[in-house]
This record gives sequence, C-alpha cells and structure tokens, in this order.
Amino acid sequence: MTEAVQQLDRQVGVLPIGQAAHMPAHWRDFWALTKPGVIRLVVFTGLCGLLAAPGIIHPVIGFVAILCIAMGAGGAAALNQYHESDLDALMKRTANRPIPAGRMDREAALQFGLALSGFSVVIMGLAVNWLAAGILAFSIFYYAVIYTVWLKPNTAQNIVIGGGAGAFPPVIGWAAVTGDVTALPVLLFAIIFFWTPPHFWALALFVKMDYARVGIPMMPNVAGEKSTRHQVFGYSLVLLATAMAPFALGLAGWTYGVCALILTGIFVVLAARVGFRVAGEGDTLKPEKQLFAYSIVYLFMVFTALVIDRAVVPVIAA
Amino acid sequence: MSDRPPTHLSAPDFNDPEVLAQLRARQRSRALFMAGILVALCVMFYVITIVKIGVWG
Repeated sequence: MTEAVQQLDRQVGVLPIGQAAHMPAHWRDFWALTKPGVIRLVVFTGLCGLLAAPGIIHPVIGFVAILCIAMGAGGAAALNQYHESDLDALMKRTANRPIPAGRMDREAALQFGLALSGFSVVIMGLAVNWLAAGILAFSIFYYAVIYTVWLKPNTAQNIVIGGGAGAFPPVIGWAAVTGDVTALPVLLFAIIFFWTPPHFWALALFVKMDYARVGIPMMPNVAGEKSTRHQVFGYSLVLLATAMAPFALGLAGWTYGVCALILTGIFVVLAARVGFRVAGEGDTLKPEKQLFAYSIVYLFMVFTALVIDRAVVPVIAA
Repeated sequence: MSDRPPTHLSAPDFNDPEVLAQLRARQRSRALFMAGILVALCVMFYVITIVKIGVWG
C-alpha cells in the first residue's frame, strides 16, 4: 500500500488507521473527545444558573450538579464526534480530533459517550433531583440526536434550532437548587438561544469553505453571505431585547440592567459592522473574527453580571 | 484488484519490543487514569451519602 493511500484512508476515516488505532487510545484522547473548550462555557453558564437561583444548595450537592452538567456535555460531545468522524476528517478545523486522526476507534468513542451520558443523568437524579436529571437527559438527546443526526446535515436552520442544546445548562443549574423552572431560567435559556446564531454564523463566515466541502448546509453556503450577514444583525437585536428582559420584568436589578445594556450594545455594534459590509476577495474578515471573539467574552460577562446582581449585591446591601 | 489492503495488514507488530513497550505504557497510563476515576467516584458517593443523611447539615 502506498503512503498516499494510507494518507487518504486516514483523511476519510475508512480504516482504523494503522498502528495507532490498534493501540488502546490514550486517556488524553478521551479528554479531547469531550470538547473541553465547550465544556468550560457549559459549566460556567450552569454554575451561573445555580448561583442566581433563589434558595440554598449544599456545596457538595452543588458541586455534583455542576460535575454532572459537565459530564453530560462531555458525553454528548463524544456521541457527536462518533457520528461525525467521517465529516471531521475532511475539515481542517476538526481533522486532528481523536477519531479522524486515527488515535481512537469509533466504537470506543460510542461506549465512552454513552457511559458518560448515562452516569451523569443517574448521578444527577440520585444526588440532586430528578427534574434537573430529566432536563440534562433531554439536553444530551437534543444535542447528540436532534442536532447532530437530524438538524445539522439537513437544514441551514441547524444552528438556530440546535442552539437550544447549549442553552439548557443554566436551566439545569437553576432546577438543581429550586426543583422547578420559572421565568428567569427560561430567559437565560433564551439569551443563549438567540446568542448562538450570530456567534456561529460569524465563525461560519470565515470557515464556510470547510462546511461547503463536507456538504453541511451552513447559512452562508445556503442563503448566501449577504443574507447571513443581515441575519447576524437581526439576531443581535433580538438578543438585545432578550438580554434586557430580566431587568425589564423586575427579575434582575440595576447592576445587571446597566451591564447587559452596555455589553449587548457593543455586541449589536459589532454585529452591525458584520451585517452591513461586503467582503471581497482576499478580505481578512477581521470584523467577523472580532464578533466571534467578543461573543464568547459577552456570554461570560452577561452571566457574571447576573450572578453579581442576584447573589452578591443583596448580600452587600444587607 | 484494489490497492487498498485488508485492514489487518496495518496492525502493529507486537513482537517488536518498541511497539510492545509503547502498548504497555499506554495500558499502564489508562489503568492508572481509570483507577483515579474510580477512587474519585468512591469518594464522591461517600460524601454525597454523608450529606444526604444530614451529617453535614
């Protein structure tokens, strides 16, 4: 067999790739399978939901709840990579993941994903409460099946509807403390839900060739760049209204209201720069990259502002 | 006939001491990692139980 064929096999994930796939995968590859970068955001928003909720949770049980959210997200990510390993092999951004790079076989990823998901739900149910466990189970199913298997390969609205998968952690954190779901956690869900399209489409605008090559119908490849840019701006306005809703409805105070207005205002300005420009050949797409980078910082800061407003300010005021 | 060989031809030679050493090192690191996870789970279940029965409020 020529080196070229070996290389091709590696790229399309046909073979369990030479020596590496016959060796047991390294534990670091199992860690990589959980998408640790995404887990950081999931854990953070889950923790904010937990801290913003009224009521008291024992620190150990709170820690277990956050651990279960992280494990569930990791399990769902492993199942996602199990399903998409052939596509991942064709995209520069994902080609070095454990399965397409040949460091792990798909069955190991499937077993790991199922075990992690199952454990997270059962431990959440037994140690915390079954409402939080039920929402966690649904969020895993939403990401691993509804988004990965059904939406992503079939519709350009994949990110819009699929955004729900990443929006559950604050609701789970809230439910872990209170045992119910009220208006504020639903608004936290909505903030992440409407934040997702401009966040992902800013990324899609500068990696659209990758998605086009593997046939994933991302918005820039289906509706065109102009329409995508307009939608990025449109969703940023919806995000502004959603982010201000907790303050407007009296569920959060001035600290949150002012922070949310400033942070989301900056988001809208950056989205407008992306929304009303035309990128020519050889464009470095700097505004798109700036919006993508800021969108991550934005989510961290808005949720931090909410926690300060609901958990820290009342303590200081008292 | 395709020039793509059967998968088993790309299997490593475990008679090669270097490959065998690599395999053993990989198995050892995984075993240690798994042991760490299991110990952590035992501690976590113990602590959860203590909290649930009300010893720590």
